[in-house]
Amino acid sequence: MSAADGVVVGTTKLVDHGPDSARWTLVLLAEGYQQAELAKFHTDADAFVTRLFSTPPYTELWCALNIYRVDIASNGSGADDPAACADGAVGTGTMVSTFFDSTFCVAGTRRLLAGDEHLADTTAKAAVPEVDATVVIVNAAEYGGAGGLVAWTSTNAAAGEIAVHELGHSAFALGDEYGDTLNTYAGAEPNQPNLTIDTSRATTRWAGLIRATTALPTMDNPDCTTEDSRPSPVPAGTIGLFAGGNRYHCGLYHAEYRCRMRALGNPFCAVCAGTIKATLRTHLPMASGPVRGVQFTGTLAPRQTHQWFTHDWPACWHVIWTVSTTTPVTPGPGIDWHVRVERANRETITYWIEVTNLTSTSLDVEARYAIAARE
Amino acid sequence: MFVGIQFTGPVAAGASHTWFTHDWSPDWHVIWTVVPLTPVAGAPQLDWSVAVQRAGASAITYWITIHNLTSAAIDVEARYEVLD
Repeated sequence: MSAADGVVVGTTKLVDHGPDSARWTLVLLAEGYQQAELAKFHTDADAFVTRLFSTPPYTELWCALNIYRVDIASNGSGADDPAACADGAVGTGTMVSTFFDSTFCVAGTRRLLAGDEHLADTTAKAAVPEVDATVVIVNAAEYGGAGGLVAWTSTNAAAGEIAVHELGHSAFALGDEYGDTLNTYAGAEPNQPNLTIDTSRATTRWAGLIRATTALPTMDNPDCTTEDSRPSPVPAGTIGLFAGGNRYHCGLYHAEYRCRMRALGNPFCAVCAGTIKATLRTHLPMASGPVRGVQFTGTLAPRQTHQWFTHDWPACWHVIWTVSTTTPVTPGPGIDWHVRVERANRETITYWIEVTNLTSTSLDVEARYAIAARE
Repeated sequence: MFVGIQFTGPVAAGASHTWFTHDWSPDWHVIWTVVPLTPVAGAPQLDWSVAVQRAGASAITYWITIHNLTSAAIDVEARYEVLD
């Protein structure tokens, strides 16, 4: 049960926003898909890409990303699912031969799904040398995932949420913001940027985001032997110090009552979103060129208004439009114009350019573009 | 020349929303463009206009009004292109 139990079939670039060396490059690996199931992996990978695009802050930093899909055909389908798990959960007992040897019940918790992390990392690097982060999509419907050197997710109905959460661990070093199995943390300040032991208003990690009127700690757990299920004492979006993190009920604090790193289905809190943004922002397209050109020409009758459109412009390009008349007009203005924008799909834009002839004579016009940033 | 994203945000269906961004150097030649983040194919989704305030000897404030032309809420992204 290892790399001998499958073969790397090929690599496909799903999202291309420029050279990998400039972008934050994400690789999606197939695990537990047999050759005949790779079309399903393509669908699962596309669904994850769609989900990631719709998830702030990835949406606004989308142009920082490149995404690849690596097809890997395993001998078996699915993942190992031990019949008995230390947390008391009962699995199916299925054992399958797959490329990364993934299994549920990692560390005795059935929902923890992972495999050979080193092999996943080296496989991603071999396929895409400039890889920054890796998600392994495991062809198993049971709920599961994990985030370590790489992120792992099953194909459960919650897969998109699982993958985004686990990517928070593996790519941005975000910690879990819940406590479930451990009581009180007594160690040093954790490495995760969204967790802290420091309750000082002046020095705690996200002190600059906490209002002077917000109590600190904002919400402590009165019983460190169990999860605190009380409602928030402060309005949604309040940044403070809320007990719970790295599976400890007490001793560690996170920034907001709700966050995707605490429970799936929530948006990222400000601290987690800020951490992701800080990394991705440096990978956005930079100024280039400008590349200039004339997109179209036309003739407008006296007082006529006409709208042209031009489609399939990469959404990540910074495009500036101007319109000029090529017919001399003296005196006074000859034309004016307006640009309207349509996001036709995730990756392309259609520009609608409306030009009005302000004169009583026919005019020739030309619409010019200047691409200020491409890569 | 350098470029960037100044802000993102929602605009309700059929509505206009104005953002402002301050303390831009008057020496910079700044062009503002706006694109939707919400894909909807088939028709223009937004247009925008820029108003300018000389807030001080060394500071310009740009007021960017974005109009959602559609019947559904959209998210938008305002980009700057500084031509210096």
